[in-house]
This record gives sequence, C-alpha cells and structure tokens, in this order.
Amino acid sequence: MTQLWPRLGPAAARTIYFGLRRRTITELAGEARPTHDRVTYAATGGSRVAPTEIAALTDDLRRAATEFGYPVPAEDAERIAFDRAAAEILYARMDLTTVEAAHNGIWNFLALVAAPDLVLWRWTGSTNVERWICTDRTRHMFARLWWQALTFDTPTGDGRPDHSLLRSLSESDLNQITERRSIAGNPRLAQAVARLLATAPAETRRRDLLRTITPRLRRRLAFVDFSVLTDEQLDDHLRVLAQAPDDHATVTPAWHHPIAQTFE
Amino acid sequence: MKDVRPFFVPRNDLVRVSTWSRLVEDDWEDLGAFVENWDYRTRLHLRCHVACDVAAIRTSARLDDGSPIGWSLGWRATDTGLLGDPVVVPVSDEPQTVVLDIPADRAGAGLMLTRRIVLRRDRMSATPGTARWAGSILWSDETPLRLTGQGSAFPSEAVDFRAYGLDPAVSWYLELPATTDLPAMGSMLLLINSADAALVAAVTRQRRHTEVQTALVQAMEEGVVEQLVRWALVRWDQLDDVEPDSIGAAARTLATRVLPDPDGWTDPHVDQMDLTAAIIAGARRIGWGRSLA
Repeated sequence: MTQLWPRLGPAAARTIYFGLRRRTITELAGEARPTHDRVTYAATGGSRVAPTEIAALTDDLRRAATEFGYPVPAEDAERIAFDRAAAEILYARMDLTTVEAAHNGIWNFLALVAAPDLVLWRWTGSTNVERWICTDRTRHMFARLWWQALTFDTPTGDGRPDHSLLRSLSESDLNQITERRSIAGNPRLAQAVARLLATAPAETRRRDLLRTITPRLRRRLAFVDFSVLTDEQLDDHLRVLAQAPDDHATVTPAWHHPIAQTFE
Repeated sequence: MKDVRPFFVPRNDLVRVSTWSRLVEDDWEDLGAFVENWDYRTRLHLRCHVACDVAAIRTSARLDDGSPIGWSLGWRATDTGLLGDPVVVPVSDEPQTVVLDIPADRAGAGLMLTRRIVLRRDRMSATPGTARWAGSILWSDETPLRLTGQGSAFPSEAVDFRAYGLDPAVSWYLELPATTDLPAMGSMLLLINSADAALVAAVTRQRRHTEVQTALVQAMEEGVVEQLVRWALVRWDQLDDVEPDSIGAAARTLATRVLPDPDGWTDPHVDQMDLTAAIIAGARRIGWGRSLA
C-alpha cells in the first residue's frame, strides 16, 4: 500500500527553520520527533504512515550515520558515504509514488521535524537553506537521496532493488547527472551515462567526460527520443557522442582587445 | 519557437491520429484536459488510433533504404520530468489502435502524452539531411493532461506575514528563485497575508465574486504578472536554453505573451513606468487583470 507522508508547507517550514538555527546536533537530536501539528497529508491515494514507521526510518538513518562518525563532525568522504547508505534506506523504507515524492512538504517534514540533527551533521558548515527546505529536489538533504536511488536503481531479476550503480558514482558525477532534469528524468539514460563513466579508461577524468557529453546529449535530446532505445543502443550512442568531434560546436573566442579590461 | 530538426521529416498530412480516450469502468471516454478524482491508486488506461502512409513518409523523410521506423507512444511527468516507458510498435499502412498504461506510482501531477514516429536503428550510411540516429523523431505531437488539482492552480498559501518575516502591511508577496532551471510548480510561491481577510476571501471564493473581490483579485493578478515578467527580463539571455516546465520557461512564455517585443525591454535603463504600463496592458490583453471593455 502506498504511503502518504506528513507534509510541512513552506511557510511552516520556514518558521521552524528559523527556530532551529544555532542549535547543536545533540540538541536537535533531542527535539526530533515523528509528528508535528502543522503537517498535512494528501487527501487520498494510500495510507498515512504511522509515527512508529517514521521513527523506524530515522532510527535506521541515525544507525547508518553512526558508522560514519555521527554525531561527531565527519570528513567529506564519510558524509558522502553516508549519503549512499541513506539513499538505500530511504528508498527501501519510504513506499512513495513519484507524485508524492515530488511534493516538497514531505521532505521539509523529514529534515525539519523528524531528523534535523542528521541534516545539521551531514551539512555541517553549510548555510544553504535548500538542504532543509525543499525547493529543488536535487539539493535537499533527503529528497535528493531518494530520487538518486530511484534514478539509478536497476532491479534484479526477482524485483529487488540493486543500488550498485549509485554506489559507483562520485558526488560530482551525481550532481552533474541529476541536476539536468532532461537527463535524470529518463532513468535508463541516466544509468547509461553512469555506465559510461564506470567503464571509461582510467586516464579519463570523469568530470571532463561529463562536461563533454552533457551539452552534446542535451542538443540531441531535442530531436532524438532516447526512451525508445535499448540499453545497448543507449550505451553505443553515448560512446559515439563521447568520442565524436563536436558537431554543433559554438565557438566563443576570447576577446583580447584592451577595451575588455574596462568591463572587469 | 519553430521546431527545426537537422534532417528531413514527413509532411504532417501523411499522419492521422485520433484524440486520446480513457477506459472508465468498461467504457472508453474522451480524455479531457484533466482526470477527475485521480489519486495514487489510479492506473490510467489510455488508447488512441494512429495511421500513416508509410511509403510517403519514407519518401518525404528520404528514408527509402528500408530503415525500420515505428510509433512511440509515451508520456513524461511535467512536474518531475520523469519519462514513462513508451509503447513502441512498427508503423503500418493499416490504421492501428495503441493502448498506453500509465502506472500511478510513476505518474506526475501533470503529464504530457507524446506520440512520435521514430527511427528504430542507427543508419551508418545516412546521407546529409537524413535521420541517422536511432530514436530520431520524424513526427510528433503532445497532449497535456492534469492529474491532480483542477485547472491551472497557481502555487499560493495564506500565511501570517509577521511570523514569516515579511512586512505585515503588504497584502501579498511572490517568492521567486534566483535560478532559472527549477521546476515552476516547486520554486515559486504566492504568499497572501492572512491578515488581509478581504483578499483571502476573494481568492478562496470560486464563483460569484463581489465587485470588490473581483477588483482585489484583478489587481493582484496584474501585480503577479508584472513581477514574473520583470524577473524574466532581468535574466532574458539565460532563458533561451532552460529546461521545459521550469520557472525560466514559464516566465519566458509569459513575458513573450505579454510583451510583443521582450528583447526591447531588457535594457536596464528602460523607463520603468513605460515598462509597467506595457506589462499591465499586455496582461489585460490576454485576459488577466482589469478589463476596461
């Protein structure tokens, strides 16, 4: 049965967010709770998730975080490793339709009410409010992880999720793929890009490879329907795209005239 | 913007498609602009009839080498950008009926139903001007469909401006993002001051508004249009290549509808009163704000 998760609207989220500032991880952990009086739910379409299920999710997330140093501030590598583990936990424990998962309110609730301590720990030093209040699901603490798991999930023969492709991607890879909706919106295309990165020669810089193929791919998307291609066709197409000379290159020459200096 | 592809495409009159219909109980009904009472448990069962003149399409698109071409009927969610798996069938001279199932767990608040004729395999010996890549779109059409909500709901919320950190003396505030590629429906929010009881009553009433309520709503409409158009003009050079359904795309479309020549208004030194007047006049011409007729 599809779950309906509590939603916290942007106004309530903003109010809570201002109240959470300057708290410590320990304080936020003590205030975290699985319900709030300002939440709403979708009117129909599933069953409301119970507070015990929400607590079970956040318990799992904290247990995973502990393996990477929580609540003590951790290095980037540990926090990114937590992301991968947390993505799998969120995807497994939250039975969401994509319409529900596209609703910013459920992510606001998780970040600001159910597990604010984890957000503060994961994003120690960040002042980006988008980690807490969801306006862009590729940036929010929990939304981006659930959507990453959805995008790169390659179900096994018996239907179980396989997140090995997601685990193979670096933070930079993920940012470059998932922040382009025209690519991430087609999970099979996003997975093909991930496979291309995974199989690139060792001497290839993945960031450069992505920077090469992404604009080319976006141009092709205007007149090629990648959703009709098989995985093999997708892989072939991307390999060719990565190797081909830029067929629509727009050259912007540097302007070295001294007058340009007056603009700096 | 005219859709120009880097290869020959068939003439539109070689393709015939019906409107979409939906299976409701045991009857096929015309699919309207939205599906009433859709929720997360509603699996959409759609169908349409398609027909084309295969030989003429091949000739028209210069694809006389027998390359496989097919119909691709699919959808994408307009709020998440998520693509559904399309139904792909070979083209035929005989009329065909194609059924498309849209699972509720992967749908979106809004959908764009797509019908395309596509090349099915790469053509390694393609001549210049002919489709080369598998998936090349030779013909297409799109049908929007709203699943949740009715009509074009503008994201809005009545809030306590004082608690929200906004000036409690103003009636509304339009939150817009700094970047252009964010989804329109997730990144803008019209905040209405809950202390302005008259405005809250006016926007929540669905019909039979009083004259005062109509005037309040129209004034806010004009103000919102002005803010969106001004937001677009400041970023005009970034809006050529924005994601579909993004705030940038929506604002660009609005600005183009409201101002006959948006490029002419991007100069920061343009007279601000002239710009306001042009926006309000443009908004009224397309049906928003007051009508003096």
